[in-house]
Parts: sequence; structure tokens; C-alpha cells
Amino acid sequence: MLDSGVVPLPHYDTQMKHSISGLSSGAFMTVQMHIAHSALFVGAGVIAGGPYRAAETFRGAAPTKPLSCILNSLYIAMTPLTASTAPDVDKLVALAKETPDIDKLDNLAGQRLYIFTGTKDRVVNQHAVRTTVEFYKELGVDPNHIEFVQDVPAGHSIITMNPEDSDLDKNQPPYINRGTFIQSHDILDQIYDHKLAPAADHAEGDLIRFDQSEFYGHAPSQASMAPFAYAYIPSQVRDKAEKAIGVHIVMHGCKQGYDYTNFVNGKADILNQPPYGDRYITTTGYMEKGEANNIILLFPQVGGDDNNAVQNPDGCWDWWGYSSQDEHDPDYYSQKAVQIHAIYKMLKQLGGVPGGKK
Amino acid sequence: MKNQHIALAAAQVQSTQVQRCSTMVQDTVKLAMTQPDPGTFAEAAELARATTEQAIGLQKQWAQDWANWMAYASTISGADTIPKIADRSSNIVLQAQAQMANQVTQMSELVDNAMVSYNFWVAQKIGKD
Repeated sequence: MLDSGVVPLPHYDTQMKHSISGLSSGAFMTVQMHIAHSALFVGAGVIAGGPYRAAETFRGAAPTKPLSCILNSLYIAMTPLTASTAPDVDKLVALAKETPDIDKLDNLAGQRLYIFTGTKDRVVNQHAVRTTVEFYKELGVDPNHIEFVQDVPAGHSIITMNPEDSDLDKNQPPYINRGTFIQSHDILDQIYDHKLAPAADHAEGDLIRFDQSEFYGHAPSQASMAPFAYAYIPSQVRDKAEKAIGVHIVMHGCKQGYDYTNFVNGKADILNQPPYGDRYITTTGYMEKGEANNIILLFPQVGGDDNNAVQNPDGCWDWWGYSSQDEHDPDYYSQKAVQIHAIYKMLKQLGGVPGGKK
Repeated sequence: MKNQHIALAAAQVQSTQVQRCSTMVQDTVKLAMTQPDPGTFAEAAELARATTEQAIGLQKQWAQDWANWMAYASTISGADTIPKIADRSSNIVLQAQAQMANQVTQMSELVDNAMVSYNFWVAQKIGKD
């Protein structure tokens, strides 16, 4: 389905009912992007992700801000030992309200959310994800518009029904586990108010590869983004028979980008690259659901770097500050953040953004 | 930290660790002076229990890892060529090394987690940002 070409990212007229979802670092990034650009979206899906700016919950974790953000992300935002050491929701809501360079938080009121945490998740645990639900409620999202799933015995993963995926309770790459439902379908159904058609049997549209660097070209060394990204154009949208509902942005998690390479003893193990490839794109069910409902899909891709400019060996999205120009004044959460800005530009090109948005 | 000698970097990290310990002790004293209520003691106990639970989980995982290593090590008797014997002998040592390094990392992470979590919890109790 994916040919060898690299094409310019096309533009389609849409109804601009855009949305976003992600797993793990992609879920944390989903929340950063969703809050920063709340005027763009109708909803979001968060699989194993914490609240906005969770890496800044406890400044006193370390004497310096960069180290504090790292320790916060690891031990408060991802693996808090108890509910009382999970992200402080009141503090983060106050922080969000005073954050410059983001859309008005009032935009969130009418939006719909899917939030998931597996009972066996050892990477981002349930204490952490429960605070995401509380965070959105405090920001005015109607509790009836939040589908919070916390009773599935799943490890850290997006859930599919593919026979070759890992057992449901595993916490291991590629973090795609086999369950009894297809999670991407549940996410899209919840965001679009259960008005979507069942997924198509086959994705008959076009999966395209485009040069992602033109969208982060102003800060290539900080972005830690891969050279290419992907988009799926449903067949009826491609053929101009139907107008797309909008664009759904799919954010992969750590170690799930197409060019993820494991670092062994500090060296990229390019001879033994994991065979994950594009599995998060093509096997998680997003394309079939998008095909049946004329939802364009955008798959931005982060890359892995492990040097002193960017310490991101696992190819994670930046939700704690590694891509910031000034590590002592991180801006990973605002519209100016290099990754958020790049994704925004991709979305604007692919499906347009509501009037008035620059 | 950029381009610094490894020893200097390690010294800085250790120095930071000492500062964090010092802060932890000072904040704990402050908390003790506030005459904590029963709820505070319950939360402290929960934090200790969660930390212990994680340590036990790690020990179980390590026992399983070493059992797997033993199983691999026992395959050396089936090696039928000199290169295969050399390969498996080397693998046995490398796997043990990697496993030990991994266990040290995991234990360090748990200690770090406990320290950050405790500091955060005490800071909240004494109303410190």
C-alpha cells in the first residue's frame, strides 16, 4: 500500500473536526498538544498518559530545573508510588491557566475524551493516569464526555486483536498487545460521539510518506524528529467524493517510531533494528476506521538521539523539556515548542485549521 | 554537563544527591514539628508499603531472570562445535553482566523514586513548593 515515493503533504478541505490520540509519551504529548491548541480539536484519546506539564509538578525534586523535570517525569508523572505522590492536579490546573502561548482553556468544555489505564501497566501506572481525568474535569470538561477505562488487565500498550501482538498483560516493546477489542476504534467512537460507522474491512485509501523536516526545519538539532512522517487519505476523500470530517493525529509512543533503533552500550545497534517498522501505523486499526468514516490520519514521527544536544535514546515525544532551546526555561508545552509547532503546521497543511488561527 | 569529564559529571550528580538528602532530612524535621495527624501517618505507611512492594516485585523478577540464565547456561553441554562452545561461553558471561547491570539500574531507579516521592510528599505536607 505504501509505495517508495516521498510526496509533498497534500491539502484537503475538511469539516475541521480534528482530534488527536496517543500512547505513553505520545499520550503525554497528546495532552500537551491538546491543551496548547485546544481551539483546533473536538476531542482527544489518552492511553497511559499524565496531565499537562506534569514534569513540573514538584520543582524541589532537584536543584536544577532540567534534572527536576526529568525526575518528575520518571517518578511523579509516570510511576508515582502512591496516589499522594502522583501529579498535583490543583497545581497543574493553576499552571495551565497561567501558561502563555496556548489557546483559551474554555475551548475544552464541549470536548470529548477517551482515557485508558491498564491494571497491569508498570510503565505509566494507574495513579498517574487517574490524575489526567481529574485534570480535565477541573478544566471544565463534562464528566459525561469522558470515557475513562481502568479495569482492563492490560500492560503498557495500545490494544488490538492481532494474533501476532504481545499478550495483553505485557509491558514490552513494541507496546502493541492483543486483547478483545480494537482500542483505536473505541477512541475514535468516543471522540466522535459514537456516530461513526464500523471500521472498513480494508483501508483502500492512500498511505503516503512525506518529508517531515520541512515542518521542523527551523530547529533540526533540537526537534529529535525523524526525516519522514505519514498520512492516510481515505479513498472517498482522495477521490473527492466526500469531504473529510477532519484530521485525527496519531501519536506513537517511545520505541514505536518507524526508525527507532536500540542503543546498546551507548551505540546505535543499526544491524539489529527492531522489526517494529510501521506497525503502529498499519496494524492498530486507525486506518480502517478512518477509511469508513472519512477521517484523515496524520502520523508524525519522532526519532531517537542520544547525545548532549538531545538525550532521547528511546525516541519519545518531548513532554519534559529535552527539545527546549533553554533547558532552564523549558517550553515543550506551548505553541512555540518545536514539536508542537511542527505538528500544528502539518495539521494546517493537511486539513486546515479554523479561521483566525495563524 | 556538556563535554565534561565523566568523573566531574559523576561528582556533580553525587553532589546533587547529597543536596536532595539534606533537603529531605530538613523537611522531615519540619514535618515532625507540626504534630502530624493520623492521616499523615497512614499516607507515610502507604508510601513505605508501596516501596517495599516494588522491591519485592524486583526480587521476583530477578529470580526469574537468573533462572532463565541458568537454563541458557545449561545449553552449553549441547554445543557440538568449537565455535558454538566459544559462542555460548561468551554469551553466558555477557548475559550475566548485562543482567547484573540491569538489576543495579532498576534498584537505583527504585531508590531514586522513593527519594523523590518522599521529598514530594513531605513538601506537600509542610506546604512547600
